[in-house]
Amino acid sequence: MDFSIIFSDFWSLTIDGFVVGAIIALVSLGYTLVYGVLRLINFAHSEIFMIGTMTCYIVIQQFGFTGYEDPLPLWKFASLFILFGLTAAIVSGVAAVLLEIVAYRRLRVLGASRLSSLISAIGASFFLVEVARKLSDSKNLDFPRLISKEPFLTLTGYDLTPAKILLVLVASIPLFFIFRALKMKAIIAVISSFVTSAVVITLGVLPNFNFTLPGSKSSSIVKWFNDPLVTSSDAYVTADRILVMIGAGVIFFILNRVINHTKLGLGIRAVSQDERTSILMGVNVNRIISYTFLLGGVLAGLGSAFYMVFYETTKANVGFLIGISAFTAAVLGGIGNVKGALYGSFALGLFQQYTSAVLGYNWKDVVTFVILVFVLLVKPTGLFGEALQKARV
Amino acid sequence: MAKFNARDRFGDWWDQTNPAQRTVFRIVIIALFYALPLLNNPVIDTPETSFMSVLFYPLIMFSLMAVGLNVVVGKSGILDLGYVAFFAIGAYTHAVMSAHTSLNFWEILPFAMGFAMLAGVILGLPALRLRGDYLAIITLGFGEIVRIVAINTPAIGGAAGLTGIPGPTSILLPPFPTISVGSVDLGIFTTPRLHLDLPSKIEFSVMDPRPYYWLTLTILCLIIWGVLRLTHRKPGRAWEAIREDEDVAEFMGVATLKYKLWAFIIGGAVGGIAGAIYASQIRSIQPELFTLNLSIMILACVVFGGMGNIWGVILGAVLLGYIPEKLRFLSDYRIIFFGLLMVVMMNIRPNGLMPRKKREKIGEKVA
Repeated sequence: MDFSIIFSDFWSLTIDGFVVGAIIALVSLGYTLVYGVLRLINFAHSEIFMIGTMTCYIVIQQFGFTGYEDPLPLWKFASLFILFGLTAAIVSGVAAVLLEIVAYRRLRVLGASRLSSLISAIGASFFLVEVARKLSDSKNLDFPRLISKEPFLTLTGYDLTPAKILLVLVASIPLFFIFRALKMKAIIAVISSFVTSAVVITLGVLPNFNFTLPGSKSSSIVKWFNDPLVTSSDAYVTADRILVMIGAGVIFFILNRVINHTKLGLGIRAVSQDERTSILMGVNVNRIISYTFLLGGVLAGLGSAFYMVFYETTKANVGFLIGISAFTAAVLGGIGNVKGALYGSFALGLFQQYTSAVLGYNWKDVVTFVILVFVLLVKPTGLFGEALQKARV
Repeated sequence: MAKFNARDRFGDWWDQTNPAQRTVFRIVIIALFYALPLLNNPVIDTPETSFMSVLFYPLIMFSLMAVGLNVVVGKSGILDLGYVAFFAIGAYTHAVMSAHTSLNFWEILPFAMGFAMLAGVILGLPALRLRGDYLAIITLGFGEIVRIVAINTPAIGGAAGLTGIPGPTSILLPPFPTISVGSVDLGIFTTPRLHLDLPSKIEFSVMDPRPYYWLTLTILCLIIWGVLRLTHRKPGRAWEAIREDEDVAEFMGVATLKYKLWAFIIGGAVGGIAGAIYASQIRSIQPELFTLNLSIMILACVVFGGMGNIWGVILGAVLLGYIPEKLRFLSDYRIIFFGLLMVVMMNIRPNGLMPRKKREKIGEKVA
């Protein structure tokens, strides 16, 4: 167990954590939205994601890329990305709506138990995975390299000294009060003030900050304060990571508008709050449920486009691991809660990166689950509570 | 129009029988199951794989595990997505203990059961305070943790698993006289020659899965008997109360945590036994045998057959184990077909093939 790797590779791990977290978030939003309106776990959602990755692959195949060309110029890549991203979103969305009609609708009308729906969804999931396995011949489908993976930005390394840590802590105190004045919740204000000051300081705003006391130049305490505890290496940010983070940010912003400021979002919130009352209020519940599945499917499709650009490979059971992660993230944030799913995904993405760096890649899932168990035991509704309807801005 | 309901028809018939008839019926059914591997019927035979090995795995193994999981999911309503963990613990207990101690299979079996029960306590004590989907994901996580720990622990074979696991030692049978009746000509027809020569011992060899089937069937019968006893007594009533409404059960003085924990432990013990038998039959185990898919498969057996009804659950296990084998002529397409079948079946009979009989309730409202 070598914890120093977290510090020495802190920025590259953190950036990867955000990238992975963004992809997980796009999938976990589908789980959480469906859970909000139907109160059941859409077990076949990971297969909707898989359909998205397959769609991206098929679309790109039409352009005859072999994967050995030079990366594309930016405008070409952008138009291509929009093309296969939107196609994947549409195909995944339609697949999700069909899934709801085939696997859930009749069971819902009959008022069957949630476990029946679960088994029906598992059957649909088996079906989709096996069809994909058959079509892909059980092979890994490699995506061509469309965008350069050379460093796009370089974050220079830094020495972390106790003096700087002290500075971070001190600097976070006024930030905390500023955030509180901006009506942030206390816990979020604590975290974000600390993170903000840490980012500003470690990213080299004050690269040569040294701690001095007047009159005692060579004191051993001063020396201890200025000796680096760890030395961080340079972190490289590639263009695909930037794409994922910015793209996901835009999608989350649009989703927020949709949920909170449109009639559809109002319907989704109404159904998740109280289905019977919303029927009485004139909400067409079946249509809202279809739209919810559509929304979840579109998000998973967009996530799959980012996934393909970042990981550049897919296979028939690609959805399994990301589905488990997304599901875990949704529960971590409080299933049914859109914001919770977001925070949960980023927390999980970061956490997976750090633990896999320390313990080795194999153990990351174990630690993830142990943390999850711990969180649920301490706060069983997830970190942010489970109600979608309360997630109003 | 009254729907045809096999369970109710059978139930009505069963209520009219007298104890002697019931005993005869039970004996006939059990004897039929014991004789199953001896039959060589092309209708029930499975193409491409030996029917005898299919009988052992998946049929009887799925049945055993489904009966165990039914106590947890069907009887007390705890959604367990990590049941495979207990199976894995049982299998690894047998594999590791037989390698490091001089105990044989029969002596290890209680340990396999005990360790699985211990795992049930360790997981259940904290986890059973939660409900519904949170409990589901914790159990799912537990199943994955056990598998990943097995992959990453070189002491128990790591990802390559353990090989050379010994099978059970032979059972010596009491000396039994050879019965030999020659064919008798009755004029109309000739009776076949009857020659019954029981072997002096039952050997558990690698080649012949039949003894394992008989062993598992015996254990399954004992467990069914035990579970039925429990169902009709206080624990069964407590489980039912918890399943229907946990809050009300608690208000009525049911020690919910205690009974949920017991359901969990009993389910775990059955899984542990199944694991030990499985390991002793296939002789080498890898962590990849114990994936989430198996948990889900067993859960599917329970729900497909009819949650809470032990016969329905066994029917579900037999069908879900048997259909993919029978469909082998579809080769690669069989799981596709199987998935479709699950969706269609659940749409036709959402409560499973043979759901449990609902107790009459006064003023039960139609949901």
